[in-house]
Amino acid sequence: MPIPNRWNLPDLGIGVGLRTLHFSHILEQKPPVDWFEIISENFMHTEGRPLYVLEQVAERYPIAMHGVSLSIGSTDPLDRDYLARLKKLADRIGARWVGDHICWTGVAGLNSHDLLPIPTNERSLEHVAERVRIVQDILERPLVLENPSTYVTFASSTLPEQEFIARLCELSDCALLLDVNNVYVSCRNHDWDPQAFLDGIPYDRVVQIHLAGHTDKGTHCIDTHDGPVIDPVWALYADVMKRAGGRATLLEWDDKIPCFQDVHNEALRAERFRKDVAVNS
Amino acid sequence: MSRPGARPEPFDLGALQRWMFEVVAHSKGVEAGVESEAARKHIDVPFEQLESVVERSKQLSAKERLDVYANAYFWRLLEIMQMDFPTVECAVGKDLFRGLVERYLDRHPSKHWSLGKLGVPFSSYLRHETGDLEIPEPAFLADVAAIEWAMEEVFDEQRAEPVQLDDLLGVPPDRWAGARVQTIPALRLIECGYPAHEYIAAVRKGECPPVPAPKDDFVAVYRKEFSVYRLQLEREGYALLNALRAGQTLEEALELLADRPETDLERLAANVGAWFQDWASRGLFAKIDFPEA
Repeated sequence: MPIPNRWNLPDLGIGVGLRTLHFSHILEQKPPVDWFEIISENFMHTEGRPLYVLEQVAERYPIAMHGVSLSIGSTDPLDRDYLARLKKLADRIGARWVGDHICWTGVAGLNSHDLLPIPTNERSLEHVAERVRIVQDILERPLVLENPSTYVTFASSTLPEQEFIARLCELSDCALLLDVNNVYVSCRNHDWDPQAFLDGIPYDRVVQIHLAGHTDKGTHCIDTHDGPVIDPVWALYADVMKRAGGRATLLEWDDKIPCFQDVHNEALRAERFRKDVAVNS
Repeated sequence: MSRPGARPEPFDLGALQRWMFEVVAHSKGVEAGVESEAARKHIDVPFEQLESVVERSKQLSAKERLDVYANAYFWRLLEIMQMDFPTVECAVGKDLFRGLVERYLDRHPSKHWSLGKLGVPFSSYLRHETGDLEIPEPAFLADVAAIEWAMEEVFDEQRAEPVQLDDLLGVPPDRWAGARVQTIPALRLIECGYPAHEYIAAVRKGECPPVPAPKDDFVAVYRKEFSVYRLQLEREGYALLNALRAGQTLEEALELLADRPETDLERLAANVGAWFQDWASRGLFAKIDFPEA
């Protein structure tokens, strides 16, 4: 039975990421896309063409912001300048929601520009939850946090990742962006059971789903966003749709990006699973 | 007392993060990173005991798993530097550029949330910190990097509605002396010791010419609407535009230039009107205040 998210944030339908390569096509053709997601940082440091394009797109389409530099898990102080810019952009374009990843990107004043994993234990949980609460106060909206793809686990982790996520949501009252490709990738990399992972997700917190392609190296998978979604990930998506019902769904394609229509067509493959849910509900 | 098979006491989260950063960002790889003094200051674990911190999977050792992050760290940042400084890479070749970036990242690791700031000190690094390396003409590379970085900066600069040339044509000549100019934010003026502008133009046309001989070169980098341009300036034009940009009136700027021994007064007098028209037509002026009539 589908369940609504607790903020009643809308099911925006099926969207794609707004990428530079497609700017001209989107402005000229105004394709029938339900919504766009932006990488927040690509528009926070610029007053040039990217922001101009975003303003045009935001007049026509709903926009969700998805960042990569919040570093919510870091032990460095929160970057207040970053947060101010994030909020300013969100207000400027009327973002439907603002999100990032459950990770850290830097420490000791240095930045890796990568989504680095957090050991899932009680200490980390308290630390991250406190920071999420502060960020939500500053942004004046729920933070939509995503489960990242990870490539290591720590000996000091004591909680399954899904439990860490569920308790983080509860402690901080944040929302969740469930990336089903990341569920697949992390479960492959860490010999976890994806069904057990999905069993632990609080679906009333899920406001958005991510889909993407990845690279299978045989011994491990890397979240490369450079190709179509594979069938096992579609199967996980179908499972999530049955558990959660319709949720704003977005396809990420960030490397070897094909033409806009190909990206959109791949995203629209999600329609079938969403219709199944609508029929069954 | 710990139970057999119990989880180890968690490391302090800050120590774990500092340790991991040192390990994955180490230019000599994960093993060297784990053994480094910088990493062991935070978690004193030798490489043989790495799995007491990072677990192995069924398929990969702890080191192999950390390699995923270590490789991603370097290649991601190298890719950004390649995008920001394509002419520098062309001038030194891919392998040498990679080595330059590796050492650059060691000395100037990213401290900003935006990857758009990664290249800020690259020109200075090339000019002042590569003397011990066998690279062709660090000063030339620094000039090229300064122009390429300026192109990155003006791309993202604030927008400003430029003064239109037509609005200036009807201004009586006697009002120009006291005119004070405000240039657009998306303008950078760069003085080079090598013809870096021509070199960049050649590389962007698909050529990869040899390093040129030194020659003074004066370049404006600016954005008009959303396109970035480079403009070669004469010495006097560069000095004049710089003085105007610093807030001097046209009269003050011309007096300053006239006092400089290197100024060619005839060239200055002959060209100042044309330069102004050219700069205005390129949209370099955001505002011009004329004195009260």
